[in-house]
Amino acid sequence: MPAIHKIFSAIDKIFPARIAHAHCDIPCGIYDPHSAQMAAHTIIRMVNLISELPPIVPQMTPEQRMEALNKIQRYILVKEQHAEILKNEVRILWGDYFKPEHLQKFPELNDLVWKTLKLASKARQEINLSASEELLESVNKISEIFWRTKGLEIFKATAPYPTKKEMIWPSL
Amino acid sequence: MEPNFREGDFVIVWRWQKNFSVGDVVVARHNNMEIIKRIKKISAGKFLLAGDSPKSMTPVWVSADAVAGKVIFKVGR
Repeated sequence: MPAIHKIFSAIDKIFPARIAHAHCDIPCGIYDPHSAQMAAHTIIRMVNLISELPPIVPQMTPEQRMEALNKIQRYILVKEQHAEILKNEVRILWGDYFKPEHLQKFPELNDLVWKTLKLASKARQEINLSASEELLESVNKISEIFWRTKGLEIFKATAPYPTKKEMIWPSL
Repeated sequence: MEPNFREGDFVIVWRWQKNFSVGDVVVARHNNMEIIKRIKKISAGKFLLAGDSPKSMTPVWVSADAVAGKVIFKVGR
């Protein structure tokens, strides 16, 4: 070990230097837009469930009121969590998976990701079915681009979830 | 960043660097951590960062304000 490194090591023990990592993550190559799609479906489902709740009215007993409040809080919590999951998944695809050559081939990608993140925030902040459905459409477009960058054909099918909305699948 | 930078190396980072060039080694904030990478491309105020090792992660674009500074000195192990 060079003497200068020993000196720096000694200084580091007294005044620890900040660590700069050479990897932001393990480059495992395993990416998939499916989690983002499922999160978008979950958000739609939560909006539907919230809309189906009976209104809280003065005639309710305390037990009925607590029951209604409990349900709506649970639905909102899940909607919040899945909006964050969706944003995180999209950020990972954008930051770690998509490469400059993908952007050249799909120049709409940057705007699409930006719009998707904004829509996810809107779907999180509001009980807004149209924004939630638009969010799913955006995620589906990202999914389509994702699988095409892998040279795979895609097919569209109605999801086997209560939302009954479209999903994008790769033809493997 | 191997073979040019190895785990345990010390680097001095000049945090007041204003202008960066392709080929500069920089420390940048990405995914809530600081990473050391080389600038491969500069476009519209953004930097494409990648490692020197062929096993490095997928290159990432970061904004100018995410770049903490330029590596100006290395103390190798």
